Amino acid sequence: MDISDTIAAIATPVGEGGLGIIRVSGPDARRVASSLFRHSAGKLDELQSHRMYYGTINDGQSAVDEVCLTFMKAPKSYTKEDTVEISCHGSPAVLRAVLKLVIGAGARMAEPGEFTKRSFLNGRIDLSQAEGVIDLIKSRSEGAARAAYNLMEGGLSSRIDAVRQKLVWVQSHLEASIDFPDEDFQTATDEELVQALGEAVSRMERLIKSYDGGRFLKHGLALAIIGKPNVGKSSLLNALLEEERAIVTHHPGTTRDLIRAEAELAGIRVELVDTAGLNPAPCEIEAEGIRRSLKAAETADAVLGLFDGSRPWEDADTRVLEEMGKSPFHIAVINKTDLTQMLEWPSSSTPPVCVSVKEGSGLGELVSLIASLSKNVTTGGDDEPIVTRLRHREIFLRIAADLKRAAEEVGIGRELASSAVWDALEEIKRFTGESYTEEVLEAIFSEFCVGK
Amino acid sequence: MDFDIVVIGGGHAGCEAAHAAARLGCSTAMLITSRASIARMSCNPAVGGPGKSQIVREIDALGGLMARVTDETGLQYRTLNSSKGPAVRAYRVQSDTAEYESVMRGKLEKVNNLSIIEGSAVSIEADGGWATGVALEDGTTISARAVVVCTGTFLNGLLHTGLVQTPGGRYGEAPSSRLPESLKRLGITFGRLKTGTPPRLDKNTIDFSALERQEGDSPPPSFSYFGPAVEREQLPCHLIHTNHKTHEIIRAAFGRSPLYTGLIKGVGPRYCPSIEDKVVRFPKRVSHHVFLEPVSRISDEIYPNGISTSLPLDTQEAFLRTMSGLEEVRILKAGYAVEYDFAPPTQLYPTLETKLVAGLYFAGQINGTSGYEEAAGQGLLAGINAARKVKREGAVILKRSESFIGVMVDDLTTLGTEEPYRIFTSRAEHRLVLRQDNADTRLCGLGHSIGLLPEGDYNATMAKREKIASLMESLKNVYIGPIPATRAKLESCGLPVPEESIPLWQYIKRPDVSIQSGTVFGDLAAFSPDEIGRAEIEIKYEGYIERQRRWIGQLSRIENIPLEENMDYSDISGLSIELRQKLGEVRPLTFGQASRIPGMTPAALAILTITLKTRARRN
Ligand SMILES: Cc1cc2nc3c(=O)[nH]c(=O)nc-3n(C[C@H](O)[C@H](O)[C@H](O)COP(=O)(O)OP(=O)(O)OC[C@H]3O[C@@H](n4cnc5c(N)ncnc54)[C@H](O)[C@@H]3O)c2cc1C
Ligand SMILES: Nc1nc2c(ncn2[C@@H]2O[C@H](COP(=O)(O)OP(=O)(O)OP(=O)(O)O)[C@@H](O)[C@H]2O)c(=O)[nH]1
Ligand SMILES: [Mg+2]
Repeated sequence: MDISDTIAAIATPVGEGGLGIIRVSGPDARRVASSLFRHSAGKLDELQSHRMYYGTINDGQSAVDEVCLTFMKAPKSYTKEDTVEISCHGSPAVLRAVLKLVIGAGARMAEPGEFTKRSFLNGRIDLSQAEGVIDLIKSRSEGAARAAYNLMEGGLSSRIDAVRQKLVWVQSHLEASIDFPDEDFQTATDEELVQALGEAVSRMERLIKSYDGGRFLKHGLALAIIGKPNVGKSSLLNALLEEERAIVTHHPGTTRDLIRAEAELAGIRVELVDTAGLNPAPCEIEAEGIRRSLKAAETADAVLGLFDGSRPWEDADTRVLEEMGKSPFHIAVINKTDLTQMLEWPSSSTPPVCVSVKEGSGLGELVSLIASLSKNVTTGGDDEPIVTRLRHREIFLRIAADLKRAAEEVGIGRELASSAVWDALEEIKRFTGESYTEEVLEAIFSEFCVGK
Repeated sequence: MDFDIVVIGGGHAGCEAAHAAARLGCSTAMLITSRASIARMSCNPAVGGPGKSQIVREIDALGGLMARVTDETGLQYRTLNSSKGPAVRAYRVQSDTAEYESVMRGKLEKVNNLSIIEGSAVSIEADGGWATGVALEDGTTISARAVVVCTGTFLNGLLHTGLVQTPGGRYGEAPSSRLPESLKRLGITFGRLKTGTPPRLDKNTIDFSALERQEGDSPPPSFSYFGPAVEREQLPCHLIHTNHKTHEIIRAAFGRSPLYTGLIKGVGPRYCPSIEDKVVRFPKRVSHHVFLEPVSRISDEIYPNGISTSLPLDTQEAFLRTMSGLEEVRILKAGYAVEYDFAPPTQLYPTLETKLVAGLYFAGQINGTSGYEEAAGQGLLAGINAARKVKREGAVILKRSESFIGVMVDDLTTLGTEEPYRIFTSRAEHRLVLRQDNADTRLCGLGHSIGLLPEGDYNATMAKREKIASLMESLKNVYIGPIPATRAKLESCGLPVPEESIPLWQYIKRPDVSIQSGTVFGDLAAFSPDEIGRAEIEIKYEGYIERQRRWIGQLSRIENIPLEENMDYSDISGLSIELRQKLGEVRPLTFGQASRIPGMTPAALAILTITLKTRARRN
């Protein structure tokens, strides 16, 4: 990747807003902008940094738009490069026309997220924030986008920074007692240090836990639908997808193979898996289908057990209940509530949600239940950042381990505790990308295409 | 006059530099304003402390002098941090400063190839970017192939006591004002720093009877690995405290403080504040402690450690007299602050050679450090490299992962310094590996291979290493378990009884077990306490040492990638202009050094890697 050229893009959301901004960044930004801009006050020698100019953008013959133009000299800009922002009238056509002129004058069309990429490469934001940008560009659901946005805005960074500050405090007390043995100041007691370390550990553990939920956000929560034949699994799938994806007939044993489909439910990406019904006396084809159903239930993040409310409880239902219970995250659903209810729900087990796929009743409740399933795994409140990247989770696991070790060692030897805290601080540098390990360099090479 | 090497200055840096250069076979001149001031301790009469202690032993392992001279001239010997783990233990020796000077002088006078010349340097001669000699104040010129400048606090030194300013390098000695001019002409730039020292007190006017005593350790530890065990009578230090009244008097005098009236412009050390600074920065503290340290057996001077000051003399006397024991005290020499020029050390390679002038080296306080040990460590390295340059041998660079001297020099030459730089153990990321006990095994090989450490000392180290290894090995194969006979033995030594049979190696890792304390570890008569102690450290710290070694290994691939000394950074696209400038300024010799330049990001480093690869491919 070359970050020495000049890039340009429309920096505001597309639409009929009142204003739209075109951002130009790179060594040529000032020249590109000056060549198109005609100042209202007449001839202009050179654009001054951090001043706003009023005038027009011209295509050589006539004015294309009336604009306000601001030049920000490096490094005092978002990308830390020379940057020009041209504030135009918001119509998409005008914006596109101006952008075309800018490109014609020597800038290159920016790739998605490239301004931020530069901002990272030039050291303005940290690696985790830059990763947030990448996630945001790739995000496929509202929830994932929200988590990515939070990461990009430094939500996670700021939590980690708070941990870092706590550790720096601990470290300074550990070090002071080693490096200044003859001074007459008091350093923090072992108990105070252990407590501070404990707080840092629980912060890390909450973040680590949020990963399970975070992973759902990013890759989608895999949800397997299981049940006896003919209870309405395929119908439910279709209803959730709002599309006739699976074949539905009144014959038990219609579905033989797994059907996977993606849906976005209340802002959460969900991968739904429709399965073959668990027939207690299957034929050969059905038996293979059932084997696959069970496998799908086992590997899914969560399992939805479906029951037919219009039929009495059978042994096969008990089996479904058992299989469903094997997953820590599960929902029991009774279908066909539009018909006369014959099912006697075994009172000891999880209370079910009642729906009628046919009439569409109860589906809203079911959707929000599925959505909250993934949040269930993330323990914190809504403002807690969610960890979505494996790289982050692994770093946090190591930090938690280092800090637990440190807490144990405070009483044994402060130099040992200090060594463990040092390890944790190094891990934090990997997170923010301040470290020079192969791992961090690798992350930079692969995600940012540096050098390609 | 003609020499291979001229060392300017005979302070702690100059002594090691001159000794090393001469011992490596170069005809060497040590130029000093007065022979009587060789190895003078300008400030506190002590050698060692955390971090510093490691440096002293590293100097010893490389074949330098400081450890031996300290052992021979101590007044009191102590091990610091003895309640903490062995990795952070440090020695501190109160020195008899007069004896220190004379013993050091004696040793230098005996070195072949070394001439001590009295005189003051006024300019560095250079030709075509190479140092060619030194001009003296009396008009003579000494020609040389390399010059090591170790002029301490003398460059444009200015002493302050109250509002009175006296030009001076330190108490009673003239500053050096022409030499910095000459260096500036060569392109060297300077900054200004400040440090201070307390008044010296007359022992006969202090009432010691009611004061808390601090004794030395018995037996005294020795710094040097190779000298005889220290056997000297020790003197006590005494502890006194400032009080409310002391602080009041100090505060009342701020109007006449050069620090608070803005007279002093240089930046002082944060970690070694003057008493007026302490009173301002810690207004809630009702008392600070002060150690009364003897300066020499043959003088009446007492050094009150902890109250360095530049307040007026009458204030110094008044606040001293508020402390119990000092009611009648008389001041022999006033406390003062000194401001001096230093050359920001990013102008140096990690060999301590200046980037601008080949064959010109800087060592000691001129590089912005403070402390005798820091100065001595740099002096040794500069002396070695000057000699190797003259002999056309490869430069010696000490790595961060192998020595505290390496940490210090890397910090200085990569980061520079904004305040007087002092070593701390926390500056070393590999502290558990860089211990003061193992400096010999870390560095003797190097000291010997460059020809500075005598053969005998090297062989002794290797033999000791073997013995430690065999002791450790034997502890792996002997098991200890809860059988009655063992139990009785352990209980009689106050050692815990293991629940099942485990190798002694494992047993020693327990925090409540020490090899020394039990006969269960077999007959240890064949081993010295030092050897036993070191085996124990290696075993107890095994996990940590492993972890740090792994870390060093992980980094070393990046760390050791060499960079061209005169690489052109100005046109690397993708690097910010600021970074290009910094790289051009520091001119790092390895990727590791580049990575530590302030403002450097891994992304920038990645770009650097690519650039190097494409450039290499093109050539
Ligand atoms: C007032 C004062 C307070 C200090 N306080 C502290 C402290 O609190 N903590 C601490 O760690 N350290 C302190 N120090 C610093 C410590 O003394 C030095 O760091 C250490 O001595 C530096 O060693 P050096 O070899 O670099 O220089 P120095 O020991 O200063 O030796 C310089 C040598 O150069 C010679 N010289 C100078 N100019 C010329 C010339 N033109 N020609 C020939 N010879 C020349 C001098 O005669 C002298 O021999 C203090 C120093 C002073 C003066
Ligand atoms: N009355 C009523 N009928 C329903 C409802 N949901 C599904 N059905 C009917 O039940 C029958 C079976 O539906 P499917 O969705 O194929 O059931 P399945 O569980 O996928 O069955 P298999 O694939 O055979 O295991 C169809 O005739 C559906 O129309 C409902 O809510 N009410
Ligand atoms: Mg079906």
